[in-house]
Amino acid sequence: MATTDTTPRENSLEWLINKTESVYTLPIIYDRLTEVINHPRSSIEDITEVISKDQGLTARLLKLANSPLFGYFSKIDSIGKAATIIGTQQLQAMALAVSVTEVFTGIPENLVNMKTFWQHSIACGITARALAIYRREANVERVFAAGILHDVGRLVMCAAIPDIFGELLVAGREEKALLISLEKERLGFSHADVGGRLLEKWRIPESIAEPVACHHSPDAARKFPLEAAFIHLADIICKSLGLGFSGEWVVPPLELSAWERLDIPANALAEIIKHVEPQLSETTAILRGSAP
Amino acid sequence: MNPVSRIMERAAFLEERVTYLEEANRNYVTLLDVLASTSEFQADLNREKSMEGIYRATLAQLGRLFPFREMGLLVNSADNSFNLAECEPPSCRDDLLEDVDKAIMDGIFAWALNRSQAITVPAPDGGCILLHVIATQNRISGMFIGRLCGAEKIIDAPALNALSNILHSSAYAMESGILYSMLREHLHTLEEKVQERTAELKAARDMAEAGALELKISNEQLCREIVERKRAEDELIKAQKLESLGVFAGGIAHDFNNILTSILANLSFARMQLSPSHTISKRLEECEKATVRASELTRQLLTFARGGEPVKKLIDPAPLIREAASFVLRGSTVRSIVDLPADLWCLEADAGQLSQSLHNLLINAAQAMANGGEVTVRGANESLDADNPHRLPLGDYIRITIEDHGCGISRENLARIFDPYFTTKSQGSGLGLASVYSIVKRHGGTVGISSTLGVGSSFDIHLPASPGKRPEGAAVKVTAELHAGGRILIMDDEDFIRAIATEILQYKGYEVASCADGREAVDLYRSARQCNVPYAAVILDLTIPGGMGGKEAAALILELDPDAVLIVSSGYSNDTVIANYQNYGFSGSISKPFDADTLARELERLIAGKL
Repeated sequence: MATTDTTPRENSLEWLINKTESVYTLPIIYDRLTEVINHPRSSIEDITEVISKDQGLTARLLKLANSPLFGYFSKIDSIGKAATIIGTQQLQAMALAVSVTEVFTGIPENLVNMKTFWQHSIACGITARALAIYRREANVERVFAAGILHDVGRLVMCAAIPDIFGELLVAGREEKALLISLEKERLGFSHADVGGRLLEKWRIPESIAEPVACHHSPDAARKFPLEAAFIHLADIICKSLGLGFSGEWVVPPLELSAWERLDIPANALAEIIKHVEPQLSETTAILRGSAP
Repeated sequence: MNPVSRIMERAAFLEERVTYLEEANRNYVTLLDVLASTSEFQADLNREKSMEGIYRATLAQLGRLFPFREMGLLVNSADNSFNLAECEPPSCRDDLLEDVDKAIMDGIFAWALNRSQAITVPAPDGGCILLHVIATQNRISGMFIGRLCGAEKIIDAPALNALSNILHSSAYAMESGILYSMLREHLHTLEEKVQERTAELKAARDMAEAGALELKISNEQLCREIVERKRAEDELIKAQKLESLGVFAGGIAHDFNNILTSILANLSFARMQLSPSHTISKRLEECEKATVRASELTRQLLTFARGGEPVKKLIDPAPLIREAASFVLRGSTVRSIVDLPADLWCLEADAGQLSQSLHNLLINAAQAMANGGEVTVRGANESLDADNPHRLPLGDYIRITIEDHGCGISRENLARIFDPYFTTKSQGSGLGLASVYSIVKRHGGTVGISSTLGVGSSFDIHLPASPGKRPEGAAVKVTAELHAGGRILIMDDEDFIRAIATEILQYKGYEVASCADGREAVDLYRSARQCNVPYAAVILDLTIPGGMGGKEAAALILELDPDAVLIVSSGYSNDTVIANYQNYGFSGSISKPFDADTLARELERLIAGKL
C-alpha cells in the first residue's frame, strides 16, 4: 500500500489514522450490506440474508425499527419488512449506527466515560434526525448515523494519543476552554478532522463523513452543508441540555450561517426537543446493548 | 479446490463484478441525466401558475426517473382528505384509487405521510407500490403514488433520493400555487371591495356634482339677482338723485320763474310802449328772447320739481306726437317724418309730461343734426311677454321711436346720457334727457337708446298702453258773454307779477283788480257780482303757497257764477290743470312767464269769444 512507503509524522492526522485504522474497523457485515444494497439486481431477500447472518445486528435493528424513534403503528417483525417500511438505505445507515458503538473497545475509561460519551452521541444523532424530520428531509437516518458518529475522532485520540488527549481534557476542564480549540492548538487538527478521516477510510458515504468532519465548522462543508448544520446545531443543543458528556466543558458557539441555512424557527426548537426526549433512553439502550 | 478452479471461480466473480459495475454505472449515468434535466423541471414549475400544470410537470419528471406503469398525484384538500388530482395514464385512475384505499387500510399511507422519503410496498400483482409524501416543512400538499414492476428488486437508492428531491420541489411549487391562488382570491375580494367602494364614491361624486351643478345654477341665479339688485340700486340712486335734484331745482325754479315773468312782462310792456322803429325796441326784443330761453330752462327744472306721480289720464298719443314733432322742429332745418299706425293704442299718461319728453327728445335729435336732415318718429303697438329685453312686466305697450341721423353718442357717454346735468352741448342744461328718463319711469315705461357715432341715435320709449280704450272728447266750455274792455281780476301771490299784469291790462284798456290768494279772489268776485260790476275774466295763479290756489278758487267762483271766465296761470306748464284746464272749469290758460302780448291776446280771445 502507498501509505506504507512514507511514514507520517508522529501525532499527525495521518499518523493517528494509520495507527487506529487497523484496530477500529467496521464489522465486515456492514461492507456486505453496502454492497448488496447498492447492487442493481439485489432484492429485499438478499438484504435480509446478509443481515440475518449477524443475529445481534438483526435483533438490534428490529428493536430500533420498533422503537419510539420510528413509532411505526404495527410491529416490524422481519428485516425484510423493515427494509420495506423504513427503506433500504435507511436500514444501511441504521446498521452503521448500531454497529459503530461496538467498534470502539478498550478506550481508557479514565479518559472517557463510554456511557456518557455514547449518551451524548446518540442524543446528538436523535436530535439531528429530529431536526431533519422537521425540515422534511428524505434521508433522516443518514443524519442520525452522522450524529452518532460525530465525535468518534475523540475516541481515536483517546486510543492513539491518550497522554496528550488527557492533558487537553484537563486543560479544557480547568481553563473552561473549548476542547476543539485546544486540540487544534496542540495538534493542528481537531477530533472532527480525525472522525471525518476515519469514516473516509471506512468508505462511509461522504454524506455522513463530511458532516462529521465539519460539525464544528458547517460552513466548510462543500457537499453536505445542510447535514453538517444539522449535526452542528444538534451537538450544541445536546451539550446545552447536558445530554451525555463528550469531554467538552464548554458549549461551542453556534455558527450563524448554519442556523440561517436550517431556517428552523426558534420557537420550533422546543417542540423538536420535546419530540426527542422520549426517544433518548430506549434508543440508547438498543444501540448500546448490554455494553457498559 | 485446485488452483485452476480457484482462478476460474475468481474470474467468474470478477466478471460478475464487472457486469454489476457496468449496470450500476449505466444506472448512474441515467440518473445523472435525469438530474441534469431537473433545472428544466424547476423552470416548468416556476412557469406554471395552475396547479394542474404543476401536477403534470411533476408526473412527467418522475416518469423520466422511474418506469412507472401507473402513477398519480393525490392532493390534500382543506378538509384533510386526499383526492386523486392527476394520473398517468388516465385509465389507471380506478387502479390507483384502489391502491390508495389499501395503503390507507394498511396504515402505510399514514406512515408515508410522516416519512419524507419513498415508501415501497409490494403490490398484490407482483409489482410494487411507491408512496411519497409531497410536503414542505409547513404543509402536506399531497401524496405521490406510483406502480412499478418487479418488486423483488430493491430500488436504486440514489434514484429514490432524486425522487424525493423532485417531490420536494413539487411540494414547494404546490405550496406557492396554493398561496398564489389564496393571494389571487384575496386580491379578487379586494378588487370587489375596491369596485364596491369605487361605485359608492362615484355615486357620492355624482351626488356632489349634481349638488355643485345646483349650486352653480343657484349661484348664477344669485349673480343675476345681484346684478339685478345692483341695477335696481343704481336706478334707485338715480331716482333719488333726480328727486333731490328736483326738490332743489323746483324751489329755485318756482321763484325764478316768477322773477322771469316779471322781467318778461315788463320788457314786453316797455317795448309795447315804444315805436317798433325805436333803437331800444330791438334791444328789448333781444332781452325778451333771452328771458324766454331762461324760462325754457326753468320749465325743465320744474318738471323735476313736480316729482311724484304724474297725473294720468287716458289719452290718445298720436296727436300729441304729431303736435310735438311739428312744434319742436318748426322753423329748423330738420324735417320730421311721423309714422304712426292708425290704431295706435291709447294710454294712461300725463299728457303734459309726455309731450315734454317728446319735446326734449326731438330737440335733442334736431341738435344732433346741426346741418339738417330727417328725424323719424315711429309709433307701434307691442305686446311684451314676461321675458322681454326691456325688463318690463308682461303687458301691452306702445313704442315711440325717435331716430335721427346725427352725430351719434359715444359709448362712454351712452352710460351717462340720462344723468342729470350731463351734457355734451356747450349750451345744454343736462336736464333734457334726465327729465325724459324720470317721466317715462314714472309712467312705468322705459327709455332705450342705441347709437352709433357718426351714424345717428335712436331712442325707444315703451309706455304701458290701454288697448281698446279711447278718451272721451272733452267738452269745450262755452263761456258767457264778456264785455271787451271789461273788469279783470288778477290773483297772484307775487306782488310784482300782480303789478306788471295790472299795468299791462290797464294799458290794454281793462279795468284791473288784483288779490294775493284764492279766498280773496272769491270774495272779490262775489262782491263785484253783488254790486253788479262783475269781472269779465279772472286770472288765477294755480299755486299759492300757504293760501287757496287757483283750482279751488275756480271751483268756488264757478259755484257763484257757472259762466265765469277763468284763466289759469302757472309756471308749471306741464301741470295737469294747465294741460287740461277745461276739466277744471277754466276757459283758458297762460303759462308764466308770459309777455304782455300773450296775456293780452289770450284775454282778447276769451272775451271776444264770448261776444
